[in-house]
Amino acid sequence: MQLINKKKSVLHYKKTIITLVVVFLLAIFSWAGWLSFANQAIVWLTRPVVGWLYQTSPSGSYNNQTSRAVLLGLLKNKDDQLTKLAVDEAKLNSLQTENESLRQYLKFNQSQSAHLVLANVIYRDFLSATSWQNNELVIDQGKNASLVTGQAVVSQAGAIIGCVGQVRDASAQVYLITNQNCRLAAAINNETQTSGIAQGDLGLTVKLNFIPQTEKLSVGQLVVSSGLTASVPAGLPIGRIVQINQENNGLWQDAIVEPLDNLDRLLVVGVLIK
Amino acid sequence: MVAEIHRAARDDKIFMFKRLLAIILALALVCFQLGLIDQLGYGLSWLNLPLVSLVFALNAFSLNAAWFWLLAIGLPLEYLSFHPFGLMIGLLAVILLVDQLLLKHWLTDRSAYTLLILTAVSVLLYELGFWLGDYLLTGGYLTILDLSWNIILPKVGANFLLAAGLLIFNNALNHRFRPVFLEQHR
Repeated sequence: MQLINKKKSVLHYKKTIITLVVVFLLAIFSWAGWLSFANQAIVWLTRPVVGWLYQTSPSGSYNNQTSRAVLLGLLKNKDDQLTKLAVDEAKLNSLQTENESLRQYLKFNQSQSAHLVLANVIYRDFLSATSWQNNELVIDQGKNASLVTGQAVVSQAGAIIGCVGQVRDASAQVYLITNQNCRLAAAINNETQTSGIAQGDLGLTVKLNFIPQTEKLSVGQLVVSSGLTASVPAGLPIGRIVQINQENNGLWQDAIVEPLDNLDRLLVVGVLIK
Repeated sequence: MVAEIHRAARDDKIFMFKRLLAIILALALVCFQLGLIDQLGYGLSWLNLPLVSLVFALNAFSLNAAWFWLLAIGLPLEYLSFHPFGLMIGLLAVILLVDQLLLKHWLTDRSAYTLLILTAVSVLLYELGFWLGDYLLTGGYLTILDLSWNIILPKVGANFLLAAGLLIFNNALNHRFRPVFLEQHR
């Protein structure tokens, strides 16, 4: 009996060691790129199912319950904002027309404009140590659609919602703007076009850092991309300032920026390829 | 002699069929976890089906079955994640080894309490290991807040309940599908 038990435990150890060796060899082969066919097969098999489950899941619907009075108040605010935006849009359109005609007069060479690649969101970040922050996505476009790390990702309304992280052949990781791994060169829409670095803060908001103390900021100002980040065009809206933090003895001040778009329920996003 | 050969061949076929079924089930589980579970609210997104199913496989079946299940769920998770290859599957392997050690030398029986304790230990190890592995291998921005008890304890609780539910389901299934000729008639 003891001999049988001993043989069983030896067999268990052998199988354990064999499994660990198999795992180690898989890691080596994957690193060498020999298992890309397996990668593609698994992604091809699972992506439609995972994508369909994500699209039909009730994401975000449990998190936005509020009272009718609050909703009516929000609606009125949005109406007022819409009116104001319509006025701003009219001004911008006339400025754009004037700009284009001036450029033609000066025969100014415009850089090639970015084109948009639409992508479906397949799933959010279960496979992440910061999954509690809920600020990473996986989309179904990758190297085959010319995606590279650092490109801007925009919502359907045109606001920046994140940037591309790692890219694979047919899928890519997207860090939302509330993710600490997403850093963009930003500028504030004020008289001096104050620039700073917009970086995600704990998965909740965006922090605009490295703003000189001498610059005057105010709550409500619009923050846009400055164009200094490679592969991110200038002028894309990021959010509005909701809080300004100044320290008397510090060199810099920072501002908390609230994203323009709701990041909870994203089904289709666009990647700007310059 | 011939009958034995036929029986062995049939057993092999059944074995292969079971393995194939397990692989399909593992893929379905991974799809379900990534596509649906993670998008749900009210704490349902804390559920970790792959990890709990691995612990269940170890507790209810055997270490061999658990190793097979680890490869079946670990490989799709590796290919669908954007971490260096080996982080997920290596972490699950370490968790499995620790659980096996606990099961063999401390928790000696395979009762419901054992399953729940192993689940709690596994979830804690998973959170810590993933945070550490992610930080060391990717060098990304991680803070100690990612390991705070406010985040980990609810996950342990949710997976506790999942393990208990799985056990009840397994018991109900076994009870319902017990072969009739094995029941004792009083």
